[in-house]
Amino acid sequence: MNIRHVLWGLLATAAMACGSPAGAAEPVRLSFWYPVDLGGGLAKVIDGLAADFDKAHPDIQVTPTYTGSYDTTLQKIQAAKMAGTLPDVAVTEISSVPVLGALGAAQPLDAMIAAEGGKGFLDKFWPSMLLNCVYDGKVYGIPFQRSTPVMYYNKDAFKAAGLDPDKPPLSWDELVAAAEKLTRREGERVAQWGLELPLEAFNWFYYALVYANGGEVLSPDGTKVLWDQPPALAALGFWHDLVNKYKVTPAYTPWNDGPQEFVAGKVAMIWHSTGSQAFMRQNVKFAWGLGRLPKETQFGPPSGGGNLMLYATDPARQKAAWSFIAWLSDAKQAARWSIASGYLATNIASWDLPEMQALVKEHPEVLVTKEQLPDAKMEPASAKYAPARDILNALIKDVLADKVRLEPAVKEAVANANAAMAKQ
Amino acid sequence: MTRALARAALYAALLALAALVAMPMYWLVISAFKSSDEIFTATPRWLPAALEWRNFGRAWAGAAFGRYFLNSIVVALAIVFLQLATSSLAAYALARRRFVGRGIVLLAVIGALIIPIQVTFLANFITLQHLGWLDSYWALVAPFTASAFGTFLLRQAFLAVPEAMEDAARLDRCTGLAFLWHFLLPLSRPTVLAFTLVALVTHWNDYFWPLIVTNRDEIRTLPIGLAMFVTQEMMSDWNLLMAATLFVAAPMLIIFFLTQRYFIRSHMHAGLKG
Amino acid sequence: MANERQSRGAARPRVRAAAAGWRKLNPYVYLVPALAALAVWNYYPLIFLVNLSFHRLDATQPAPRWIGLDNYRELFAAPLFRRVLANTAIYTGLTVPLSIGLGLALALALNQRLRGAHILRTLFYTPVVLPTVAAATVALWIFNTNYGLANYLLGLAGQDPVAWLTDSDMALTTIIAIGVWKTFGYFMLVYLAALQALPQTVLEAARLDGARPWDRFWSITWPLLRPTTWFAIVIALILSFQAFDFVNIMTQGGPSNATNLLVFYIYQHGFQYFRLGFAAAISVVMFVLVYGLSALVSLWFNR
Repeated sequence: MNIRHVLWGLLATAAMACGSPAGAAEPVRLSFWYPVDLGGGLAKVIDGLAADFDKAHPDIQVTPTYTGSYDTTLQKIQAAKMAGTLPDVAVTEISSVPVLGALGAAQPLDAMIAAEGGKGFLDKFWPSMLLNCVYDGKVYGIPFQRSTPVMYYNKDAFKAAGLDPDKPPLSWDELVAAAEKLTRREGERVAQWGLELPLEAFNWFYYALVYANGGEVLSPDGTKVLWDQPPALAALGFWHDLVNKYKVTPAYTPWNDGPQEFVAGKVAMIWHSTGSQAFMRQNVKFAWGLGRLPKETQFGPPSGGGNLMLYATDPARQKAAWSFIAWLSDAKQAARWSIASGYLATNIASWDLPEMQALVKEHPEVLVTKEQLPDAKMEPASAKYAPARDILNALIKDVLADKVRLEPAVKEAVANANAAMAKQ
Repeated sequence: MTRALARAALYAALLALAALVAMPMYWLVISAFKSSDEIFTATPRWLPAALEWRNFGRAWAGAAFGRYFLNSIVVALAIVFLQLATSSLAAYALARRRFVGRGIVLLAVIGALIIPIQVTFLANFITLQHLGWLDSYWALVAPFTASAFGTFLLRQAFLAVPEAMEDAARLDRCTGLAFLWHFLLPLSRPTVLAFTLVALVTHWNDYFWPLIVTNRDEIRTLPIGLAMFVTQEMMSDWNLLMAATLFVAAPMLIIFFLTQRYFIRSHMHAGLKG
Repeated sequence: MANERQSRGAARPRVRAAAAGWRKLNPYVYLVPALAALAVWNYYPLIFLVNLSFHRLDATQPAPRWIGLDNYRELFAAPLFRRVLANTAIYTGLTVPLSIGLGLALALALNQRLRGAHILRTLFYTPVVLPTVAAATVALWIFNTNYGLANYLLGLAGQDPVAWLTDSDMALTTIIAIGVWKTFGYFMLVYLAALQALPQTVLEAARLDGARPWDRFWSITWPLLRPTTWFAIVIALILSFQAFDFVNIMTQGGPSNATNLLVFYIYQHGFQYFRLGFAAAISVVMFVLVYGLSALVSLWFNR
């Protein structure tokens, strides 16, 4: 070791000592954490939005930070609450609203909404989206990157199977019939699946099936799960049958693999987020369409995506953070974000703007996504739901893989979930 | 005759294994140079149609990799510096001094070798929270201030320096820290270099601990930055992901290729547990 | 000592006494930085975790509350815990012997003055130097069910594609393979160093006596390598924690908890569910198992 090494070491230690930046006096620097659960490129859009906001509000400067998936972002916020290093604004998955509200990490927005016109302000948004913005009677979230599930289908494959490419199935019976025609086998191997329902951590398509069957997932007080009630049981039974009885669906499709398999022509119909439209447009080389999720007793796609929530506690920062949130919710910004990302435009007025009209003209299938919004239902959420969600995930996987018998497995899962939620 | 056959078989087996080990790295490199429509092809391309150097630029711009690089350098250098400092002092005491409790201290140092961060992280996280050091460079460096491995290695090296040299140095009024600085460390330069390199690579590659203690983008190190980028691009842009992986892994690979014999040397000492 | 007395003279007894006192003290002073750090960041956590495991500390209970053995009761009754233990046992039980065994085999092979041995040695060690994130990212791409290299190669061999990371029966195997790939080079070097330090005379004598290579290995080399093997096993146990990085990036413990290992389970409960008391209890169980195992291994090797 010679003197040069020592100097490098001292330099490193000194750099470290100065490394943690202190807050600036002015302008107000807001930290904005966001997850993007789709393909990339959207980081640039967020940066663009932040830059434009800074230009329009010279006394505020927004620093966006990508914080991983929805789950990672939630963990970071919870960790930050413990460490006292919360961001000012963050986007979190809609089911986190009660969790963060109960934790005291997020701030209620009612006062600020009242200042902006109260109900008038909230009326800007699609009512179905607002269902997942409330906790304990107060508004904690403002819709931002919202989505519903849709069905992407391969029009060329429809034609080849003798189905009408402009009439995607709208009921469960039609769905099974179409899927059976679309599933092609080469000997033992499946060359093309009729239908895929990818499974991710939030169990979105389970909820879609239960709602389509007229059921509910979580008790209104958020403490008991209803997976063993007849509609829910039948919904899971239907999914099981798709895999094991009709054999038109593989037992497990990871969320990210779904669109890739659709692009590769390995599946003719796939349920996925409205947010995947951009990926499809970029990569699909055949004629494709977008349909709403079929119903059994009702149309009821579950809501999804993320809300903006406010975490700053200092009044000046809260004011600045709220102006950012309100700005993002304006028709123009909501439209811009929606067009770039494929998430639904949260502001009803956005749809009347010329840029949205142009989008609809170029991609008429976008109207299907708008069509579903009035029927969209709340994503199950409660302060204690986290372990139940994972139990449900494991249950679905086991049922679809035919590793367990449906009713006993569901009953056991319900008991475990209720017990786990009680402990939270 | 059979000897030649046995040798040939051995070579064949080694080459097969080499291919298996090298395949992921080859795939990493060529995927980094593929253009976006060469990713989702029915049959994988073994060679990209053209070298798409732009991938590196796009990947670099995809996240704050410049900042992550700087953070990784600062943190790794700080850790190595602190570990060398604490380890040489401790090794000096353990190797060149007799004192009450020396055996126990040595045992304590060796015992710490098998208490990795994955066991202690929960407690260390809470400690840092109490200190208010979370989400800062301090958090990334503090738990690694001392190194049981480094102390052990340096002790071995110092033990090899003869007593006579210390006596001679004392005549020149060179004792204690001066002796450590002017004699022990220079004489142990190969070991010091070996340890520096191993520690540098180890802490440059740290993923688990930085994941736990960092939230802010400004503080992220390369492995975390890369992992975030992976989550972001996982659905589509694998060529960008491979490009980013390459420039995250490249510095350590280059250092390794250039200084191999020191890595090997670090094993020479470790393997002979006395 | 005598020289000192001569050169400095007997003129300053107090300074001499002070100097002697300092000399007696300074080993301890030199040890303070390292020992303090080890105490705070390595040893204190063990005590802290044991204490925390008897408390409840989570998002809705921000101040620790004593609950005695409740965390442990809950833990041992949880079916998921048993699954995680089984997964971890399988993971460790396979990666440790496989990576050490492969490392040893390669060390023996490369120790024979083959041409190109040093190139192979570098190649086999490279995975060790690669960041786990990099290895995980490449693995994600190679094991991609639809577009990955692995399934393409399988297809060339006429086999059906395998869902390497998304089939709950396959995922753990894939993680094990990656774990072995990442670490075997380290043990190869450890054994190479040890082999080169072996006394050649005994081996020469055995060869001259006509002993076959296999017998030479088992009767002479292997016993001489015992300290190295002991060291390797303990290090392999520690290295097996690296699996967290792969699980966190590639599978998040899934599918269906197939790759949920102890270290991930702790992270899950500590940082996803934010139940720190409970996570501390799992940590305590984990380090009892790891140290128990290390102690058993050490006892066996030193009998």
